[in-house]
Amino acid sequence: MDNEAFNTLKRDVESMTEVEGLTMTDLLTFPDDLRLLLNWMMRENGVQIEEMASYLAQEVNEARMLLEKMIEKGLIEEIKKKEEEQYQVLVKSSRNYRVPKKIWQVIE
Amino acid sequence: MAVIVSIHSFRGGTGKSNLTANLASQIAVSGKRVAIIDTDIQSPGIHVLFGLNEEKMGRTLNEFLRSECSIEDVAFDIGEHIGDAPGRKSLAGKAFWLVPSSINSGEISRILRDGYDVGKLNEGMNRLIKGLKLDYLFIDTHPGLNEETLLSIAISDVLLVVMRPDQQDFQGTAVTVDIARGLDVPNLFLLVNKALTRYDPNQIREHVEGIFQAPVACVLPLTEDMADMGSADIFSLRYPDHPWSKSLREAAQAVLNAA
Ligand SMILES: Nc1ncnc2c1ncn2[C@@H]1O[C@H](COP(=O)(O)OP(=O)(O)OP(=O)(O)O)[C@@H](O)[C@H]1O
Ligand SMILES: [Mg+2]
Repeated sequence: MDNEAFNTLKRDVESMTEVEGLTMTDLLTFPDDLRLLLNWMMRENGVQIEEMASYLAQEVNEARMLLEKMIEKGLIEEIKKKEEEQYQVLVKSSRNYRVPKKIWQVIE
Repeated sequence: MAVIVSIHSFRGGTGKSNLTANLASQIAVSGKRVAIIDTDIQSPGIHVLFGLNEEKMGRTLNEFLRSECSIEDVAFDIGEHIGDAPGRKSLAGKAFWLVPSSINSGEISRILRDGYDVGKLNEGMNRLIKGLKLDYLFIDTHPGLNEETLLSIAISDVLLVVMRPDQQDFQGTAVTVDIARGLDVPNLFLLVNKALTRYDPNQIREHVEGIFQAPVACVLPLTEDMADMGSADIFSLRYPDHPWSKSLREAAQAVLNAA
């Protein structure tokens, strides 16, 4: 992704309200680049910072700054896999299992 | 890495559970390590195809979700317990598991009342993949959209959306396909089930592909033979030469080729 898109992505994360994990319904409402990034991380089921940097086509430092913001916002958690630091989407421990009304706005 | 395949439909009764059981069985017979997880906690059904009842199934996904046991404790070894149905004979000794949901009415009402932790479900699927060294994990889902069907779509490498050639199914399927695109599913296939035999399956395929701009993996005929078996066995293993089974194997091949 180019620098302009990356800056937008950073701003989108900054302006988010903090959550305790991601719900899939929320995920569907996110701006495209953020949604794509999280989709990718979900499917990879744990990525290293270098992988994230190459996904974003950014320097590792830049990627790390974004990652830290995402952790702060409650979207991502750090996990240890084979002695390596990896990062994973934090799926919200929701006990509420009906679909919020929001979903209908998403697909309309 | 295991391939995660979820089978979904917007409306109920499309044939998801029968398709999941048959596709997973075909892939297990081909020698892959396969598990099915029944995430339809509100109305579980797929265990019936493997001859399980409340007594035989032992621990269930419900107990795992309440942190009362590990997910491996719940995995029922199908290859070791094929039962006496003729179709399932070909599953003997295969690396094939089912994670069943409870059919105890108390358990079901408890889940309906309290809900459950979708995050924990995700964790369980990851652990199952590692613990059993799976090549394929199939997820049978409750019809419609809720957090856990959305989660299964979001983590899928392959999503199979089952529909009947019925106007209500067409509209619902459009919703599911939109969501799958929003969640960026890498491989999306439509499966048409219960097609009337008086219509040309190729025409149905073209029509459906035209509407959804997505590939149709197979068009399966409506057949009394299937209804008559009443989910008591794996149809495509019992009647491998039946037209339904031939179409089903096309879908299994599409899954194998996709990921
Ligand atoms: N091609 C077919 N021809 C005739 N009957 C079929 C066919 N496919 C499935 N059935 C029958 O349809 C019924 C529903 O099938 P199944 O339980 O697999 O659907 P489902 O989508 O899992 O349902 P639910 O939404 O309730 O979970 C069963 O009785 C099954 O035998
Ligand atoms: Mg079912």
